[in-house]
Amino acid sequence: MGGDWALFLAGAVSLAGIYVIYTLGLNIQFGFTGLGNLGYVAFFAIGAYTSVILSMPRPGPDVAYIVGYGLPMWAGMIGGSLAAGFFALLIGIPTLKIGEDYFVVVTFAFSEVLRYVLINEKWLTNGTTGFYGLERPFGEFFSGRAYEFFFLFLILVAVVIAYLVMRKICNSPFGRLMKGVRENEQVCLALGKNTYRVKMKAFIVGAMFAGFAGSLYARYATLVVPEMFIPYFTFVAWLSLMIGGRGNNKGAILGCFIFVLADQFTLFVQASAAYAVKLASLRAFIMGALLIIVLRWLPAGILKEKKVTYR
Amino acid sequence: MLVVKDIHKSFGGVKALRGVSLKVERGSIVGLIGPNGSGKTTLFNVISGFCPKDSGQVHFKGERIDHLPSYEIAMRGLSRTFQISRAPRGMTVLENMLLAYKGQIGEGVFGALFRGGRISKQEKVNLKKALSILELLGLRNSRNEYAGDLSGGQQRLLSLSRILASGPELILLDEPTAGINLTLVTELLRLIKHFQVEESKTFLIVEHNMRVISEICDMVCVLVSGKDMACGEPEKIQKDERVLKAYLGAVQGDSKEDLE
Repeated sequence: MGGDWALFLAGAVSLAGIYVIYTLGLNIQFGFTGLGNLGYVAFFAIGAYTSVILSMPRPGPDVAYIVGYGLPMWAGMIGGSLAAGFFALLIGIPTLKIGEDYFVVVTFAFSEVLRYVLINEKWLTNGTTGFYGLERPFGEFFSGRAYEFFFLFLILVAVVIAYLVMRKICNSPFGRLMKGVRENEQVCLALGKNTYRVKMKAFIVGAMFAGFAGSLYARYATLVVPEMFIPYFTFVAWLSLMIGGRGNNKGAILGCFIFVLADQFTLFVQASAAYAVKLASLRAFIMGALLIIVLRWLPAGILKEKKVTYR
Repeated sequence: MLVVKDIHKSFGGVKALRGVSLKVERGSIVGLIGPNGSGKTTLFNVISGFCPKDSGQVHFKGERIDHLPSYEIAMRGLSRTFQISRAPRGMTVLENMLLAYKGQIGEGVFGALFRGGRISKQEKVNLKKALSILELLGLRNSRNEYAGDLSGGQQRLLSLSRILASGPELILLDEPTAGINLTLVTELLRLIKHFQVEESKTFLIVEHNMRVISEICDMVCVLVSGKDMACGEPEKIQKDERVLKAYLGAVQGDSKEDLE
């Protein structure tokens, strides 16, 4: 029994780690730059699908899809991340110059349109079946049980790197500039800052983090199907960020762990089949209550944005 | 230094500017006055690129700038403040200042990631400069406060210091003394004069306070219903019959003493 708990925990922490990378990307977009991206899941999906398609072997004649490039898995992950960034550029060109309200609407619409593209373009995505039974990185070296712990290790390494990169970006003059754009774009313009480019860079970097997280998530779940990328997933990042603390990378991390804890704790509760359904709906209740409590008493999130001080 | 030629601008049916022309000489302080709704702020918005003109030209240092986006104009050395001081509230006073400096290496993603050494060198230099400006404007002790926590007057001082940090040659001030107590007004005027004399900055100031105008301005231009009515030395303008009529006639309850 004890071993099962450890295995469960390894899985849950791996998931939280993937969410952390995902949420760090939203933090640079919304927390720092103030871009209310309500279609954030789209970049997660692009990363997941691109990485899988790039590293899948060439398909045989008996399947619906016709692509697959057989690249190594790491190349797929980089490709997934780059593809997400590229799509952010495409979406950003028309939307970042117009008002914020439009940006919110367009990103939300984009994520839904993309999901229908994933469902319908069978030649590329294999439709609602998606791709399943995916290999996992270095899977051939470990037995099933030991692998879960190794995968957790890989995720944690990725999380540490992602956090360090993000910290470096956010603590730099660029981080200050992003905050300036968030606080007051007009002042930044009057100071000679090209705010459109600042927003574009933050948007692309955030999307690349989402894409990378997506490519990890595909390996975690060992499958990609369009149903995984419903708008709910956008709000996973939003909830984690609002609870943990926007504009604070540590807050994003904390928020993700709280989210996964609240999301998975019901699995710890022993219950009869009749109660299982009720327990599942309890999750949404807990999450909503948590959000209300945090926003009522800690409106900036549990970890507030850090004040930058100088001597 | 700044030449504005025949600027027209309407918002729907409202003709805000109807052929304004204006000249600002290098190293001078020019006041822009006019009744409410005469188009002063609109003119500022057009000059600084925050609002596209309908027709006319703006030249700055001999270069035509009226087609440029606002940040490009600011990069060329023409900066402005806003009527309502809009401080980035969630940033400290020093962050506000450091934000202003031009040509920062760390303002791109790659610079931020890979040029740590050069960034920290540049930050040190900028920090020193910022502190000396804050010292001058009496904000040094509030350097680690959030800009949003400052008083209204301090926020105005901060917006002036921020603009100064960005190193402009021509500064457009939109009602710098509105809502500021008299002692601070005197201080502010001293500072503007100081920067004109010591650092050869040029100022164009929208102002309602006649004391300010007569005390520091070398030239005054009067804007009435979107047209420039008169330009000249403050003493002359104060005696100009047309100006008195337009200005006082439009603002009810204002007395002539205000002008003198």
